[in-house]
Amino acid sequence: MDSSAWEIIHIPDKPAFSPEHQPTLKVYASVIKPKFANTIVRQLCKIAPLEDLRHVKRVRRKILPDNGEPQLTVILCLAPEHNDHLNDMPPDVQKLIGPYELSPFITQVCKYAAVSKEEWEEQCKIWPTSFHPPTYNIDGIGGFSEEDKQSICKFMSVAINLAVSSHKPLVNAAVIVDPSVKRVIASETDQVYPSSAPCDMTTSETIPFNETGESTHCQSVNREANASSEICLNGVLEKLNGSSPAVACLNPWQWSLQPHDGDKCSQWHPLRHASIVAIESSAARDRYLFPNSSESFGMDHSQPSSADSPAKKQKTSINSPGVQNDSREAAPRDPSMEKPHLCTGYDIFLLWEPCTMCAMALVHQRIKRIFYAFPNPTAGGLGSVYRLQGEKSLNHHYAVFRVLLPGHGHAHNALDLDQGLKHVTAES
Amino acid sequence: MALVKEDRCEESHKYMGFALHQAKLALEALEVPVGCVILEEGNIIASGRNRTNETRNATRHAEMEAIDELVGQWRKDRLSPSQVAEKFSKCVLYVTCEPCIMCASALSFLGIKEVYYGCGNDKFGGCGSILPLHLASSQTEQGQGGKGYKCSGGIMAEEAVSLFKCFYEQGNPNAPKPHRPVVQREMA
Repeated sequence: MDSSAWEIIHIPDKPAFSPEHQPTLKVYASVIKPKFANTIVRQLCKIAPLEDLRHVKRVRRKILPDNGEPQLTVILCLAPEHNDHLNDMPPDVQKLIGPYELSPFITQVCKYAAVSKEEWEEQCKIWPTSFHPPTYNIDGIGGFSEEDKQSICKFMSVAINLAVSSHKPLVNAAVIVDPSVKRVIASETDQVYPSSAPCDMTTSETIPFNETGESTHCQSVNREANASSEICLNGVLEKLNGSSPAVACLNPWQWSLQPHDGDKCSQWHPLRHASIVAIESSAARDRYLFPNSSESFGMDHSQPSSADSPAKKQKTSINSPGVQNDSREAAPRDPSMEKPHLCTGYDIFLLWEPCTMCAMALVHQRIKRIFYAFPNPTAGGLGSVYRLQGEKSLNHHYAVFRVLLPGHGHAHNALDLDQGLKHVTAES
Repeated sequence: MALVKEDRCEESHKYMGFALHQAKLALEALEVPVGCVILEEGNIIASGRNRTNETRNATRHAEMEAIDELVGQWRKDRLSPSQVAEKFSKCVLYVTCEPCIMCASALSFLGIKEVYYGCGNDKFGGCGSILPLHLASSQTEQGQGGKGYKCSGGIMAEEAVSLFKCFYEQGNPNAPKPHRPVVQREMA
């Protein structure tokens, strides 16, 4: 596969602005006498801390052009966005005006920390800020190696082929991958509509995992192998007429409008979006491969240290009769077979940006990186409507990337997708 | 009028009591103690509690458990998707903690009528604390977004919080690297 035709864009945790048009906030500021600087700043940090503006320097030092003397200006506190009254200052701050001979005025500072040197240089023209070049530890934010890119393109193709080959109306597909060993952990499609849920299959709630789980690997390998066969694709692509009403994350409120043949198929669920199904499938895999680890918590209670428990859990799972088929794979020295904590360290590949429900489900399940091909303007949770990777209060943050398919730098709808897919299939 | 209000209050405490009972079951099973019940015309038709540790699926929140119970039943009854939507539009959820962003979205997708919750959720809350997913979403090209649902919090919040305290005192057995050692809890 020629991965040079693919482009992978990081979707940052805040909206991208051009360096010249960064959002600003109003603040009260005042020139201060240098001899008061220390005292004033110390007091202000107590009575008006700028919690969300840590990147903004509290004091600006400027050399006055006429006399070469330094001039200090300090930010007193935030100012209301809608009016310019100076008397809206908190009383504690107002009390400083007299003793320190302040003359407050309103000015602007940049709302968000700069993410690039260009942004930072523009910010400092308004008010000085600090800039810390990103020190992310998630692979890919600083760019991908050729090998990583190859592998990302490969797994994105797996997702695309899964989406177009399994079902008649185009649905979303989710492929969870352990990138450290390039292994598919789960691959699933939307199961919202009767038509998109395979009728001869019950849900994974009801079938033992060794049926679904065993097939997960083979299926994806087969699908991958079939990636070059355009036969099944063409039929599906012909049916695309510009919209993708059956894609669950794009139309999460529309599930009830679908025609229903009660006798034909009973497997459908308004919330079984591809990501949710894939998470369930990966959890089922976990329970199957490591059947005893959950119960072992009860027994481990008396153990003062839990640091050595992963090895122990692994041992028990290897000895358990239920996993004979996988015992070779689960050789103790294979690092990939350490019991995973949820989806820690895993990637997920999706055709469409997940909706807010799915995006939050992926936070809960501790996915490390999300790759999607098309944005979701109706309900997207990763930048289009909401941006969960930028919600600071959440207890986990993944890195989000959009994968631009070959020749389709700015594909936005299914028509573009149609052509984009032809590209993909022609190349793979 | 005042009497009606009092009745409402008594009623909501009654239902929240059932949700709290579910949360206690979760706690006894060493799960994060959140529980819920779903009502249709004043009758409890489903209940659920957190099962994230047991299933190793961190999306198995109380709400999802209860919703799946209903969908499973209605599918078995051969209800069509539009009939199921009609059913959900008459359902009221009582849950001990504000639904998270995932569950709040799910409830919007289902078109639930009303949600009552116990304590707020200042880290993940999807009914106003972090994101307002209970509000109606704007119309889109493809069709209508969600209608939104009525949402009221603070019902027996202290009881819900005290269950969380119990849970964190005993330690979360499934945390990747426990901050606090797991303490043997005496089963009551």
